[in-house]
Order: sequence, then C-alpha cells, then structure tokens
Amino acid sequence: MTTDNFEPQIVAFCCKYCAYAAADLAGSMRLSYPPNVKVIQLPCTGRVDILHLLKAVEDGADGVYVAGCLEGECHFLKGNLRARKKVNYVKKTLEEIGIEPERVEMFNLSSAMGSRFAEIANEMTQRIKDLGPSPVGTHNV
Amino acid sequence: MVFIRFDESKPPELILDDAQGLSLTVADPILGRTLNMQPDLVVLASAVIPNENKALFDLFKVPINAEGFLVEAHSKLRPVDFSSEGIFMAGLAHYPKSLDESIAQAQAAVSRAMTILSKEAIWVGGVVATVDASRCAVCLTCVRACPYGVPHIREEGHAVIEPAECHGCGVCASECPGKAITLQHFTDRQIIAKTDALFCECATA
Ligand code: SF4
Ligand code: SF4
Repeated sequence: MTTDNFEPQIVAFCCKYCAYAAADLAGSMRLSYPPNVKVIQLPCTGRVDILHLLKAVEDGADGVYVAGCLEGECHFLKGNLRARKKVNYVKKTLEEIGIEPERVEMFNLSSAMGSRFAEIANEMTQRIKDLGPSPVGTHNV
Repeated sequence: MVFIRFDESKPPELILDDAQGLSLTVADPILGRTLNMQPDLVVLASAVIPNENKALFDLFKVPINAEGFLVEAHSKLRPVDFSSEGIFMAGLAHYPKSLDESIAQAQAAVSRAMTILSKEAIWVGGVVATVDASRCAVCLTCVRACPYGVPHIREEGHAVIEPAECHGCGVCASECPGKAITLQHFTDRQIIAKTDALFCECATA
C-alpha cells in the first residue's frame, strides 16, 4: 500500500459549546479545512468515554481527537480536564498494543476560534498523513 | 455620502493651513488617483475597546473573541443569544456599533427573553442523565464527579438524578464504572453508532 494518495479518516469529538460552535464559525468565515475530519457533537467533552475513542480506532479511524473548551473555561466547569485524562489513558493503551499514540489527541479552543478549528483539522490531517494508515484500518486490506 | 477606500500603507493626510483651512489628501486605489479636498469638519472614528470583564464573563460562561468582544451563539441564526440558554446580549460589548444598532439589538434581546418569560411553564431539553437502578453499585463516583452535585444516594439504595436539576453534561455517564447512567440523546449506543456509520461499508464503498 502506498501512502501517496492516502486520505486519512479522522473522527473529531467536539463539545457543543466551543469546538462545534467554532466549526460553525469556520464555516461562516468561509475557511476550508480537510474533508478527512468528521465531527461528532457531544454536550461536553466530559461525556467522552474511553470506549468511544477506542471504538473509533477499532472501526478503522486513522486519527481521533477530542476538542473541548479552553482549560478553566469548560462550560460544565471541568469536563475538558476529565476528557484530557481519558485521552492520555487511550494514548497509553494504544502504545501498549503497538499503535502510535499520536493518532489520538486532545485540543482546547473557544467558540470564537473559527480559524483555530480549521488549523487543528489541518494539523491533525497532516500528522496522520505522515504516520500513514492505521494498522487497524480497512485501507490496507 | 461618498465612501473612499484607502490602502493601509498610504493613510490619508490632513494638513491644517491657517490661510486655507483643512486640506485632506488621499490616494484612492479604485480610481488610481490622489484626491484632494477641503473639508469643513473632520470627525475621527475612534477605536472602541471592550472593557475587561473577565470575572463577569467567566461567571456566566460566555465566550469572548481575541479582541475581547462577546461572541453570539450563531452570527446568523442566533445573533443575540449565547450558547448558554437564557442569556442574551446587546450593545457595544458585542462589537463596535452605532446607537441605533444597539437599540435594535436590545429590542431583539428583549423579544428573545419574552419568548421565555411569556410562558407559564417551559419545556427543558431532554438531555438529562438517568440511572438504571439495577446496575448501580452505589460506588459514589457520580456523586463526586458531577460538577453540580446533582446525583444523590439516600434511602433508595441507588443513585438518583433529579432531571430538573441535571445540566446534561454527561460527566457522570462516562465516569460511572457500572455503566448504570445514560445521558439521554447522547447514549453510548448513539455515539458509537455515529462512528460505526462513518466506517461501514456503505460509507467507504
Ligand atoms: S457512579 Fe454509577 S454505579 Fe456508582 S453510584 Fe453512580 S450510578 Fe451507581
Ligand atoms: S449529566 Fe452532568 S449535571 Fe447531570 S447528573 Fe450527570 S454529571 Fe451531573
């Protein structure tokens, strides 16, 4: 399998109050970001479960990230800090089973940061392109 | 009214001459010419700088942009609302605007508030956590995790979440080790179904 035309599949779990609104803003600002990123809305990143992240990897996502409010500005006080812990836990788990932990990441942004949303999507897509397809994915069968 | 655009690198020049009064020179990039005029009066539009109200904004959990102005829930669909329900905005704290515009916005904010105040009772969102009593191990994780202290365990012998008090963040649902808590509308099955749908054969084919 060559990685020249590899288009990664990336799942982004986004908090309704910041990242999801920032994605909306990125749209109204007419910013473009790679179509590789698929957004799933959550009421708060505190809702994200280790299970959801691992399931996305198992399903074949080449990258998964959680995008929540800036630290200290969580709409529900501390949900984003809990999410970061879970992301770190998943990173460790992936490392143990031989999958690059960089495939999973936590980002923080506010709803006013439309351009940051696009930047994160670009950053993550580039990172995963450099890493190549996930060993779990369906790309290499 | 005539608007003249100028290039930021070539700002207009104003000269006060005792004999001839004011003289304004500006390079118009559209005409590609330098214009000169003798205005009777020059009024500067001074910058509007927002107050630093971080403590208040933090208290209400309302977002501000990089310049320090408030950010609405959606610039087109919900222009005077915040994403937090029941909080509205009007005026210069939002962005520099004329008095007319501030008044129009204040009227909009009032009418949005009236949609709530005019009702005897309102329906709240169904995004609340519910407990499956049969799976609850009374471990107190949810009681400690909830940022608002909603779950409680009393004589019932299992965790109880009062729907009217629950803010619907879902922290308890993802922390509960027994998977006894479900956040309505964001259930594990629904979230996992969304990732599954992205990768099912119909999506990749
Ligand atoms: S976290 Fe789950 S198992 Fe523990 S008390 Fe709450 S509902 Fe019961
Ligand atoms: S969903 Fe959030 S607010 Fe509601 S009981 Fe659970 S932790 Fe508390």
